[in-house]
Amino acid sequence: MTDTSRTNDRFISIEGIARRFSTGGIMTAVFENLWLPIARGEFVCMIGHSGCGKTTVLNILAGLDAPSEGSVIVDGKAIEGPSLDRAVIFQGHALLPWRSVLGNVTYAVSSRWRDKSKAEIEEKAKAAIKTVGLAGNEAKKPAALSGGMKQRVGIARALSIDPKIMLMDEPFSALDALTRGTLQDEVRRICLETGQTVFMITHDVDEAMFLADKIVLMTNGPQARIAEIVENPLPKDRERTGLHHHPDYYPLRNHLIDFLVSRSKTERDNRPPGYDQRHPPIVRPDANGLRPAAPAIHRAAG
Amino acid sequence: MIAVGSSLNLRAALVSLVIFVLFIGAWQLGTSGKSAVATVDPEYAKLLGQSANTGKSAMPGPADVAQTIWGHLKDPFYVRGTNDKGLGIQLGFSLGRVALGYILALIVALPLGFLIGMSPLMNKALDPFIQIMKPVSPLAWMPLALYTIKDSGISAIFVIFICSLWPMLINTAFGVSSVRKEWLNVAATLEVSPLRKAFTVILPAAAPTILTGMRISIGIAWLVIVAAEMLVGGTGIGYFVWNEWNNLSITNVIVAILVIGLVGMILDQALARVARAVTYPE
Repeated sequence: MTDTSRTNDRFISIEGIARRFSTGGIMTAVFENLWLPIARGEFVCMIGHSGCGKTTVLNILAGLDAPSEGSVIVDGKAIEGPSLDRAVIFQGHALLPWRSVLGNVTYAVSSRWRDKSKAEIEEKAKAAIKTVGLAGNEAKKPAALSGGMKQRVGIARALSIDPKIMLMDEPFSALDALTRGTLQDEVRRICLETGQTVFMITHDVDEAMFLADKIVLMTNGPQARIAEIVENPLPKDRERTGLHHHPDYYPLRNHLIDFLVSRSKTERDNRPPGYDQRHPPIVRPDANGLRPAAPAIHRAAG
Repeated sequence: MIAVGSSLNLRAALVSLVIFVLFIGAWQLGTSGKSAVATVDPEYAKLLGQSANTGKSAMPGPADVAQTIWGHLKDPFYVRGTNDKGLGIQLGFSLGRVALGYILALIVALPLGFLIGMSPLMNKALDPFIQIMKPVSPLAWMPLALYTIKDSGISAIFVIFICSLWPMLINTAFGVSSVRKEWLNVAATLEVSPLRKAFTVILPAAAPTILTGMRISIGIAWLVIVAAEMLVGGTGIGYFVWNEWNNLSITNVIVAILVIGLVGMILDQALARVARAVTYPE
């Protein structure tokens, strides 16, 4: 194994992080000793019930929150606060309402490249707005946009700064099903084209199945754990509309639903034999049944 | 039937006009009557003014007031000695004092409000001082100001400063502390420097709240300047009112009241306009 394969396989490495909150003098750990590697170019979705610390994990990755213990290594360096290399797409789009669509995106671009000229900044911002299909809406204020369009601007803002990693916190949860579908298509296309590394939180099993290469399953909190990392057996060139005809579709979906319905509760307290918090089991549920995924390189490396 | 415009504005203007005409009519009726002329000692009559021996009320009618207003409008900036200056000049003095005190208060209130709004520690630490100082009538500061500053003009400016300070300070602190967390997170993930964040995120986000405070402040400042100038004397619209009272010119007092109201309204509307410009729809 060469050095590059090692850094590529552990582009992001969450290493034994814990986050504890004090409530009325009692310390409660949302999660403890959490380990997770994410490879370069990988799309990882995290699924779990409310209160399992998904958003906390994302905030730590974004640098908006700090772990009580442990650290996160990105591209060989430990995270110390927020960075322009890690763009965040917020759940509530978080656009600045007094700025136009273009103004919101140029704000990000000018933060990234402080010495670029105004024309260069606008050009870069307009390109990002075009990528998300909003060309012609540059002068509008966020209040004049629909929910889906606002979230597109949020995506354009994240894309415009050429981040190494995109972090998405339930980006489509507030949208109607139709808009959500088209935006999922857009996000998948953009991420494949740009080779983004993405960490996304979602409640939506179908969204995770369509978008993710790997789906991280969290048990319920407090003291949540990563129960499993599920490899997506569906083909890379999948189409959202025909996905449910694929033979691997239902085995995967049933596995995820079963986890959310029962195992997320039971497995928090009863760890399966041989469970290692540092190396959560990687499984691949497909038409041939459930089997452990091929031994990953990171296992040897860890 | 009279065709009344369907627009609400037009109908409201019509009602306003009716009320105005009724008020002027009542005023005219109230002041035109003559009471019986009493025979009084001429010396005493001099002290009482014309009402004593002519039977005419000292309260002017609308026509007298209109005539006086016309007189002031024709020549607002005359100077005929220290106690006889045009209404425009007196207004200028008052506006100058309000502007100075108000701008000084703004210069102090904005940075201090940012500090209080951004630091929970400073918020808690300064709260008792603000709570005690805020309800003090600004005129209560006057003796202290006169004693320490030893200049009545600057003391009046200080009183304006102190009364404009609190609404701006409290609103700025509140506006800054209630900026949405997600906007601050956006600035954080874009690695925006603290100073740039203050000007590009916090200030525009808090601007509507700050402007509300500024609007309250200018209203209070304009209320207080009249009282302050009555006390310190010399110049200003407040002094004008007091001086005309001493001259027993009720007409001029009424004119001054109208002018004070008009200027106050203009100041308020000007700030309302600025407030609309910085308000953002969400």
